[in-house]
Amino acid sequence: MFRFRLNERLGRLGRLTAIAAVMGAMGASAASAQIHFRGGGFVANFSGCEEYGWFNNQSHMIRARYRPAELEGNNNEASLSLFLHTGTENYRRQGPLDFTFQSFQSNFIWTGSGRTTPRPRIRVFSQSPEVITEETREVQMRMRIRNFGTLAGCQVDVGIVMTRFPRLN
Amino acid sequence: MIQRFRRHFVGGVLTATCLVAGLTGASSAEAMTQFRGGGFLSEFSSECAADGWGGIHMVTARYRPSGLAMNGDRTRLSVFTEWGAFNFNTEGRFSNTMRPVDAFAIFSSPWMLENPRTRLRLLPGSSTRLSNATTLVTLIGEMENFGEVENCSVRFRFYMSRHN
Repeated sequence: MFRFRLNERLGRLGRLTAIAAVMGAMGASAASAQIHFRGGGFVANFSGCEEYGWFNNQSHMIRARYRPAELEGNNNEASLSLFLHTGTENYRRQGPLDFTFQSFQSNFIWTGSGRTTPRPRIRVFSQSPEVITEETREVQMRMRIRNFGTLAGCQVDVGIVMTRFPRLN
Repeated sequence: MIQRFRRHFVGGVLTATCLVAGLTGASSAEAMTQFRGGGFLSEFSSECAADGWGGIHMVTARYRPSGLAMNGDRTRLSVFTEWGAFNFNTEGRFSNTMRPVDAFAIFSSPWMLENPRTRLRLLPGSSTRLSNATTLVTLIGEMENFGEVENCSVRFRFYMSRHN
């Protein structure tokens, strides 16, 4: 009985390892082929986030990565990651970021990790350049995020500026 | 005699004030006008490779421009990279022509960046008209002799929001 369970576990472990290895390999090649932007900015104008110690007069310095849905090879999926000093959140959806609120799938790593519920909603206030193309070198944008930090009702404004990877000559 | 006593007394008060100011550095910083955010360092010239600099660095940044409430007459910009932290400061504001700035770094150890001195200029698109009501600041610019690497030039761009 015990041996059976152990074998089952080892089998499962083996499958997971194999899947992880494949995903890892895919992840690496996919990431290097896809155009994304790397930089940083801030999270500010906290509202309804006091429970987590975020107040409206604070500006938190962050790093950020963004893969726009608009670009070829990105599978029409937008993916945005914000790295705070105390944790990280990722937001993604089919289709680009929008100037009206849209719902995003979200994962987080704070003290723990997981899928964010309720789903965050994001709307872009401003973006420069307004249209991102294959030739875009730098992007600066400001947006509002609701249900930030896994906290329902917590709203923040995020400003980021990022540069293209891989580099253009 | 009274004069002398008064002088001593004034001196004492000043010393005490300095001590208190030093101790309350944190709280007086709160009253200063500062911006916090981040961005990137990019376009490292080939010379920078001598010290390992290249590619893109995602960074955070803090900015305290001169002339705004409680900020005094020096401008201070700090840039935090994965490898270490930099502070750049100058009398008045940063210029849009290449000028040497005072620079200080903390990596494994702290040191003044003096040989050669870091040169910095702001590029168009930077927020230069600042008031006590300003909430957002963009800084775009270039530095030369970055990290004391001769002729190492780098582009920077930061987006920051008012803190407090």
